[in-house]
Amino acid sequence: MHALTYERRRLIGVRSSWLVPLVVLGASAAVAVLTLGQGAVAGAPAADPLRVLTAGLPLLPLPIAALGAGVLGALSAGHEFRHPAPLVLLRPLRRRLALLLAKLVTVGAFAVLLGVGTLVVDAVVLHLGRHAAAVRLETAALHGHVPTALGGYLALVVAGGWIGLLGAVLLRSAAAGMLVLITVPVLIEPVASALLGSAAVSGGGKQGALHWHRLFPVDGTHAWLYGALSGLHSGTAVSDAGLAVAVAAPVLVLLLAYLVLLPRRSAL
Amino acid sequence: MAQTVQAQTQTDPDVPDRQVRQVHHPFQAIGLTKAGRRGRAAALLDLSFDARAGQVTALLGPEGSGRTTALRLALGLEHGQGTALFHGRPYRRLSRPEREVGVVLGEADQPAGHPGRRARAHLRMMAAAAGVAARRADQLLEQTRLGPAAEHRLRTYSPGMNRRLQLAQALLGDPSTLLLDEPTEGLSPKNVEWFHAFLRAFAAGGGAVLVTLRSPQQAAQLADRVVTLELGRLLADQPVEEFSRTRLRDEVSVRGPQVARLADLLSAAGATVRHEGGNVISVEGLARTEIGELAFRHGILLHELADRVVEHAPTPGPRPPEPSGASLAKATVALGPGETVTTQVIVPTPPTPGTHVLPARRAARVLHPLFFGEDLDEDD
Repeated sequence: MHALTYERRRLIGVRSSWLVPLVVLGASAAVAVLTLGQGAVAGAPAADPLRVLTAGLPLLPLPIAALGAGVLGALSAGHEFRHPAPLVLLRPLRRRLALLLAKLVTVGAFAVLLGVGTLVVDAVVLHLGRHAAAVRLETAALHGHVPTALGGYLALVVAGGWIGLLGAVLLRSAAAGMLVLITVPVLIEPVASALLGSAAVSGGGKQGALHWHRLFPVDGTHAWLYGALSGLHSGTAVSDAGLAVAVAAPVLVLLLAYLVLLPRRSAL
Repeated sequence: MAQTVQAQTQTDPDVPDRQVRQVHHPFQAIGLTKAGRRGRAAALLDLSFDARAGQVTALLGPEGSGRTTALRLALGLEHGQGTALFHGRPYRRLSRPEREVGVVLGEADQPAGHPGRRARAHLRMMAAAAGVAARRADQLLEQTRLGPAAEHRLRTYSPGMNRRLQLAQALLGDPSTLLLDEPTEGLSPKNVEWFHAFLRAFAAGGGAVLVTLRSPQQAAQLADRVVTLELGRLLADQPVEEFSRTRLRDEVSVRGPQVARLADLLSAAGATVRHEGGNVISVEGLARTEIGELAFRHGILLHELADRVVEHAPTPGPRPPEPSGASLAKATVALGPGETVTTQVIVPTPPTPGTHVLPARRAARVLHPLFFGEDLDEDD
């Protein structure tokens, strides 16, 4: 079984894998333009160039690209349940594992491409809209000083894709996968703050601490706007490593839960 | 699997030759059993048969007789008892199942995959899943006569095309055994004919075909061996000649205003005549031409004179060697009180055809007591 080839052909063959990136790119460009305009109206340098680049929207629990990647991951898994043509082929466990791995790789690669794509589109918007800020960022990038936030952004997009995929494969439906995608970030914040709160008291060290809103640049001054929908407005301070754990933990938890279930299932 | 391993280890080490020479059939079902849900009768009870290379084996039975369950059990898609061996190994132990067994399950009116995908893309994707080159997919599209429609989306496919695409999908790994679940159900006569020709050619090439069917007529046309199921029990496992001799009859259906008179004449000529109600009779034992001549000679007007093949009630027939007696005995026992009708179906009455007949026949039977009733009324 050539799982990667299968997954690649599957992804290319359905319309959703073309529609989702188009919608994501369009939406993030629109949000970037709106963010720029908002900054101009306010008359203040409010629009953080990073926020423009990542097209952060306060109302959403995750960046638009991460949501798109998650939707695609969920559809990728849901496809095997809606149209279970290779059910008989997937009887052996190693094949199901291979297929899961192929899906993770494909969705991951797709998510990276999607993240980079949105960054490029938004960079163009920024370049056209606010030349000065753009040039400063660009020269920094040319000298190898890419803001950490962009790395975090890409990681978040990939994690979003995987959460969607694993949620859908765990619950055997694309819709369920999308629900998990939206729920997980909301759940993460209280859990992380509970864990890190106790750790911070004992450790006490806040060197190199980052704020959520600095890494995933959404507006930190209007926390009420995100309401319960977002886990990203917290004032909790986390280190880089802590943040990586926060992003990777839900993926790992879902993956482990699924790997426990996989041998007991007859299909994916 | 555990059972077979045990059996192999238990065999005498002195006679390894026999072990080696033992022929494994491409498909062998041993005691497939599926318990019924919530105390109902078993969906499938102790079904054993095999499908041989170079033959088409039909698993025949009405709806709900457990044919699909048998296939799904054999493939390990459902949990149950018993085992099915493909060349001596259960399906889950096959290292490359698609190279040995091709499977067509599912419905003809459902697309073979995502409805928005094009047929060629779909089959190439499945080729990757089966681990074969994309070239093989194109080749199979031509072979199943889907070449001209290869770039169409699956949602535009007709049931016949769906079925052929599913067949192409099953053939990707170039298997030696084909398992098909009602491949010709709901297809046009032309497609049915194509399917029959294809399956016969596949068997002629040395492959084994196991196909579930609903219609005895089709089984007689297609199969070399017919395994008959009824309510999850094995009724008969016969070569097709025996099947058509014991289970099918040639009848002539005659319609006309004066069939009553013709019926008397035909009975006098030695034919068996059955009234179908109205002005239709069914004649057995005389050819169509002879009936026509007889009618003409006596000046009887006919409106219809047609050959047809009718299903007999299952006669006991020869049973497959080991499990049959037991299974049938169990069958009669398992049918408890309250299921007297089905019990009558199971218990075969050799001389007269039983209750499992076409509806028209049953209607004729039901009429009998009514006639008595009328007689009584007249007496009153």
